[in-house]
Amino acid sequence: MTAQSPLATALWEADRHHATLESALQDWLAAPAANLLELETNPVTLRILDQLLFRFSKLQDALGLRLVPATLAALSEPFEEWPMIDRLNRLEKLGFINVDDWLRWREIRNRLAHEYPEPPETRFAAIEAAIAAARDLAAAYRAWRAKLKPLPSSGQNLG
Amino acid sequence: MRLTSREIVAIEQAARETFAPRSTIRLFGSRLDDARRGGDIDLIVEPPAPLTPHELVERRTRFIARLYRLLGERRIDVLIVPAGLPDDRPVIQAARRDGRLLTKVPE
Repeated sequence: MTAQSPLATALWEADRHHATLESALQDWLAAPAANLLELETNPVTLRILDQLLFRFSKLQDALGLRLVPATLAALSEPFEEWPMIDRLNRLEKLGFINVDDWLRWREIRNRLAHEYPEPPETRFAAIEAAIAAARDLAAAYRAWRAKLKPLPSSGQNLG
Repeated sequence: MRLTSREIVAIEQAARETFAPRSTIRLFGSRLDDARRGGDIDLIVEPPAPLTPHELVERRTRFIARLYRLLGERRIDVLIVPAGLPDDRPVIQAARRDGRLLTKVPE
């Protein structure tokens, strides 16, 4: 097994989720459901949404668990003892993320896993908010990645 | 009631930053029971006027994200129901009946 830097490994993992997320976003935007009934009666649209939300969660987890520490390590930040919020605040100062956005995406992700019974219009509004968040997360990841490019440890040879 | 004073202060602050004046925030669910441990923080928010579905989702996300910032990420569930509007969902009825007032957003 080739020894890769944690940053290259984190980017490789995030790239896979990001690519599938982008393609699901395109598929959704090509034929979005207009309401919950339309969504729930169209198995193709429902599958696209499931894929989109799954990759939204996976990309966010990959960034939080791997890319956050790997980015701080690549910048020689002494982050090991810091709680998550301090790591996020530091990355915001360095221009990698917006912490308010990040925390809102966490809430949206956590909500996908656990729901109270809600009126259909509220459920659909929550789905639309999750799709908008997925689009914003994908864009934030592209910007994050572009900012990492100059770092030698982001070696892009993992395929 | 099992909330620390730090948690209550955070809930007051996040509510002020998110919801309209005169909105009430009540605690319900397992955190009312002193004999239990841990568990989600379940809150019911009753704003004085109805919100559109889009506004409701946006406010709920903003409120919980503020709490994540103030308290760290944890399990928080928030129901938002306009004050005085009948709602026959059992969870809403129980929350309205048993919920304990934590704060009211000042005018």
